[in-house]
Amino acid sequence: MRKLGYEASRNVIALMFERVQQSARLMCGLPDYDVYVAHVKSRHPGQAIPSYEAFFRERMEARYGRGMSRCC
Amino acid sequence: MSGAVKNATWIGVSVLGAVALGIVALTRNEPINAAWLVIAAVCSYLVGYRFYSHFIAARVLKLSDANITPAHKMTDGLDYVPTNKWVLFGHHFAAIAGAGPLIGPVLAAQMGYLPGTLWIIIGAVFAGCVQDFIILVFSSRRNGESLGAMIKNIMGREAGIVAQIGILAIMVILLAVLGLVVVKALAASPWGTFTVAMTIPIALLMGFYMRYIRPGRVMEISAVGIALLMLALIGGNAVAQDPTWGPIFTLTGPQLAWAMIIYGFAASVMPVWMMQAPRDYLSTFLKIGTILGLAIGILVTLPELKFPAISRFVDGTGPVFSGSLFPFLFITIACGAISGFHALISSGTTPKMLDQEPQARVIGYGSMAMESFVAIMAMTAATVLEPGLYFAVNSPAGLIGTTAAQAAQTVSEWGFVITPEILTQTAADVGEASILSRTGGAPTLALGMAQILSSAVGGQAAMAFWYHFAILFEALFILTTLTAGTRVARFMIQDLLAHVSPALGRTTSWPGNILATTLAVAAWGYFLYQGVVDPFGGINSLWPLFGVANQMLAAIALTFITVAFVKYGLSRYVWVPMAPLAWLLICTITAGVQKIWHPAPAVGFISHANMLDAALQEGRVLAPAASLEEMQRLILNDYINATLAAVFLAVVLAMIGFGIRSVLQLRGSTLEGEPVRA
Repeated sequence: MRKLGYEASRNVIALMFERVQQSARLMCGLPDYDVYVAHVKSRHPGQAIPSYEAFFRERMEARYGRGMSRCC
Repeated sequence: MSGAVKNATWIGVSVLGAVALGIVALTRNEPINAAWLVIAAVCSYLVGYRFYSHFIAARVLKLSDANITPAHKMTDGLDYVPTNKWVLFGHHFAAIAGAGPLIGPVLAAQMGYLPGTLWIIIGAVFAGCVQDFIILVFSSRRNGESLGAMIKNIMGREAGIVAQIGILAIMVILLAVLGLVVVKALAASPWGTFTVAMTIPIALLMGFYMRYIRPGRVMEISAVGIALLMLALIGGNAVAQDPTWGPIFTLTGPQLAWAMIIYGFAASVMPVWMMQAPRDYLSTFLKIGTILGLAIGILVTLPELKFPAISRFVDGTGPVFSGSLFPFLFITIACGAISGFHALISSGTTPKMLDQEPQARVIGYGSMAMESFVAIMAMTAATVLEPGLYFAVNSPAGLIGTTAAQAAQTVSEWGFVITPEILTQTAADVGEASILSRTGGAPTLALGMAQILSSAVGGQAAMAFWYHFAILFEALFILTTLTAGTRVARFMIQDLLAHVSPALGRTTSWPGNILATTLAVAAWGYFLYQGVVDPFGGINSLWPLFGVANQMLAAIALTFITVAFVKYGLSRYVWVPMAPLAWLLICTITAGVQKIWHPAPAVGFISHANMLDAALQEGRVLAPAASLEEMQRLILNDYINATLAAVFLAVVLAMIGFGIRSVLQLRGSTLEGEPVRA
């Protein structure tokens, strides 16, 4: 394996931690808020950006509102 | 790695896998180590992934970065988001992994570890992984359409409606059987009942916190919730010992059944933020933690299996579930080998988040291989137990009686020697009054997990903690499924009600909501209650019915894949879905027919009804009935169960008919080699 410097290994660990958190949130149906904000800014400029709370509520309703078929 | 090293590695993995499979398959009359099961399974998945999924990806479906995924085409930052491959893998695995792969193998262990293990491995490599993977790819190519929508659009509207009815019927029997598992695990167990009851206030607290105190802070409140749950788990023992509180949480089966029916109703009409969402967070994290813990426990302790490779119960006379190895083993283990439910997940949220099409291979095929490994772990947890103990836990009271002495004697007569002392001592070790006839798989899994985990962490003293931890995990998970499933069934029923009265069909309509929820809860509650009061039936006769339903859904998904192959000019490779489809159809149809018409009353509903009817004519009362009126009700139950089995059969046959019709229509309209695009 290629040797990693201190800085680089710290970045790798930070990235892994970030990914694990992202995974855990997505398991509960919460995609990245930052990605969503970036999307609204780039594709719908001028549109008001929903707060994290509004985003969270919308996602919760979308995931559970009509019940979810989950596996046995 | 250079080519030669790569080849040598794959030859090594294949040889190792073959040797391990050989040892698992050929060892008789001497205990084998769980390590061989693990090695055989992991090597098979690796070889299956490297070669078979590569063949499907490269040759059959021709996955390519050039096929833009819906996450890019329709990106909206919410549902359609290009997502990191491993993050999406975690999401997909968490969505497909449930209680099923942990319970089916435990029940199948009554035939020995070998038949179930082989079916889990072979089924996953050639059927389950293939189904999940291909459905994911097709859904991605059709802009993230659900299975139901794809069936409707490709096979016609009638096929879509029949599939919907099938899904609703499966839902009902699934919820009833899972509810039964919880009732059997918690009956007369104050410790277990207390901890599971505590999940309700904990979920409410989390719900209010996320709504009003710090909205949307999922991680911090989930951590608090899990810590509270562990406190409830530790405190449960004291509550159970307490002279006032102990009896309050000591409930009978029928009481628990009613409690669940009331809970199921309340939780599914409440706003989702209050109960459904926080429960889902808790059970998701607990599930991932438990699976990791079990994997580490098995790998660290490498226990020996005490079970025989093949037991005498392959002949169909087993006490855990009735029916012979063929076809019933193949429907008892559904999740873990192939599960129709995964087709719903693979065409749900996952395809909308796929970044690049070729990643469908690791996410679809890979996640299912991992799920199959969970089933192997469940098989291991069950078969490290003494077989005599296993049968005392899993046989209905109608067969082994209600005292340790009777149970030990009956089970020993079957050839699985056990003493009454071991049965009472095991119960004491895990902090229960009795472990007899705790059918349904969860307590057995809990015993096996407690044995494995306590030998890794905590020793004998930790047995009771790990046992109740496992029960809590299973029950929490199943209750979450119950709430979610009741909601799904409610909306399906409201869709149907809309045909009668548009007002009742509106999802905001309170009368519509209450009526549809009542119908949904009554449907599964009926089967649940029937299973709880039947000392012979319950899991023994209802689990196979659930297995038939689940495999029927898989057959529907594979039929769809077959039709889609013809439509997209892949007829040359149509054996890829058709080989597992043929096997599933043989198993499901045989099992369905046997559940209805089998001459043995333990297997066939109609012969059971006839047996009761004959006794009724003579004025004799047969257990579990206490009166002639009850006998009549049992006969009615049998006919309802037989009807449900007939509905499943009819749905399968209809779908085959629609499949053949579609193939005939499509032939000639598509060209071999036409680009595979939706």
